[in-house]
Amino acid sequence: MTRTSWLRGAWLVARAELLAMVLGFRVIFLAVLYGGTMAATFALVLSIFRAAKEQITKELGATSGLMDPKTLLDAFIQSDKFQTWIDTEVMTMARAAGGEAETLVLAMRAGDLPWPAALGLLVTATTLPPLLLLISYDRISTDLGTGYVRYLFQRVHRSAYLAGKLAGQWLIAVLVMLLASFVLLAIGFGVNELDVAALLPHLPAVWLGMSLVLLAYLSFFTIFATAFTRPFVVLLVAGFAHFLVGTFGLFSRFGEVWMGRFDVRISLLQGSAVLLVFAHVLVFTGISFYILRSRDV
Amino acid sequence: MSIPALEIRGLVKRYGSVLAVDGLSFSVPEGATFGFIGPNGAGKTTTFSVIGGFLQPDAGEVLVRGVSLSFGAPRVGHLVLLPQDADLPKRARVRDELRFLGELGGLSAAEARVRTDQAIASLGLDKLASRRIEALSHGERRKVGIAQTLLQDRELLLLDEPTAGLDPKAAAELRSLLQEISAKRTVIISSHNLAELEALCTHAAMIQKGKLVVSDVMSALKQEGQLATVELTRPVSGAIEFARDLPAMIIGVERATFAADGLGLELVFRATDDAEADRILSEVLAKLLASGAMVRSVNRGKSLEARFMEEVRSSSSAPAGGSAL
Repeated sequence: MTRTSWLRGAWLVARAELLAMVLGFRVIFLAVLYGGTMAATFALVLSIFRAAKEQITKELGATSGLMDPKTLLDAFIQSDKFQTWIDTEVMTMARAAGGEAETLVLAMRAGDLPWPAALGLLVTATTLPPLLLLISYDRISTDLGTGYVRYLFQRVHRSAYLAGKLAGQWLIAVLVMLLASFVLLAIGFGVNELDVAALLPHLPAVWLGMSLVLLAYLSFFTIFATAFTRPFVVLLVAGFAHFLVGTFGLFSRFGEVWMGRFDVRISLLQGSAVLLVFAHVLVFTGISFYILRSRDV
Repeated sequence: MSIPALEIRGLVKRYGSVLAVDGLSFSVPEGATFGFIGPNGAGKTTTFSVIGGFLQPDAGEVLVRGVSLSFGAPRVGHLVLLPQDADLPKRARVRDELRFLGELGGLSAAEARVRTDQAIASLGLDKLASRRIEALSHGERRKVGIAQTLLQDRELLLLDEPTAGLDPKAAAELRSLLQEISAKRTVIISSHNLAELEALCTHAAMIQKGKLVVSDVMSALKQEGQLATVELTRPVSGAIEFARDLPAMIIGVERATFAADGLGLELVFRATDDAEADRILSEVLAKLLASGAMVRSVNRGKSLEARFMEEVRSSSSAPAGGSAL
């Protein structure tokens, strides 16, 4: 009598999910949209920096004689005028925008988070979750709607199926995030716009933090994927819920708790924030499993 | 007493206010080829879905070889099922999908490869093995669905409408394959094709409105030990007297009736076993031949369809009780 262990079942489902998404157009779709957004944002910010640098060089150049532009810029950044501007104007704006923005500015100010890492983190945090919903919304609901799960659930436990699906989608998300990061780093290095050597040591913590947050988002979307058998309904309801929760978080203390607070992404894996994200994953996955195990298929 | 391959105890399943299965109980002996018969909406697919762990019953129990199977738990190692109206992923290729399901069923990658190739060959799917599911016809998809039931070979096999959508040639090939399989495994088949079940099955259960109407060995369902019809090409002389005197001449014959044209004889007899039934029919044939008749054919019992229609009519007018095995 042959049996499949829970772990092997989950692994086989995850492998199938990974293959289906890699061989389909979804990974390309995700990589192009996410990578494109990231590249466009960086290009925009770099062009602003370049223009600012030119302006500063022009203004300071008149009084500084033979100094090169980079030294001039560093001197400006270290100047009391600039630091005072950060401590007053920027901090006031950050406080007004909410606790997350303040933490972000403080982290950058303290040198914990170089600006490219902070920018990558912001773009990832805002664009990747909805993109993940776009590529994953029908993966479980279609299996449920077409009855394919009847072939699967004869052989594998429902929780192993759920874990496998989630793991497969999460691995895709992480792989695309890393791929886009490395491509951008290579481009930045190639055009001599980024100090890659200084940036690299900060990135693993950002990637790790973002990976956790992406897992939490995927498990959040999975609740809707297990509850509805029509993919379009999943997309609609999950998308609306994501928008609603995000908007609500902007104007309430709830935003400091939702998805482990922004801290997890900018305070470099702060323990409490990591635990909070794990709690999100556990609760959302628990709800999804409860729905899946109690439903007729 | 041997443990049944499958036992259903007091199964109840409701969909809102609709009672789909109403206290259904029956058992399937080890090694049987079991037909599961009922009109549309009788609860056949619901029962299969509960057995497969897809539907949560409101009450009752499913036991495979004495082991109680809970809702939602994998059935691998106990049974494998061909579900009705369940699609395989459109983009998947036939061979890859079967290997995946084989591995998911506990086979190693190498075993899954071998079993997949065997199942593909058994169902004549060789030319389709590299195609995507979406490129297959309905009948071909059905065959792939059946192929996935052949990957594991020790489990109880449940097939929900296996020949639905197959062309006559494919259906005949499948019946022949099922005959081979049923020699080695316990097979339960739900179908509307009663002639098919009559040819394949050793046992059957009839259900209506979610209740068991009757469950028995096929020969008993067809009343092979009670009824026979003899088709003649030349009638006996003195047919009325012949029919009247037959019960007195042959022990076991209870009643004999000729058709109006004298070319059909319907016999009602009582036999305790097949040998006695053979003895009674042989003696009747001898008497017929001695009386100048020419015999074209002898059919024991009634067709499953005739029995089914009879049971459906009687259970529609009276509460079903049912006789379990």
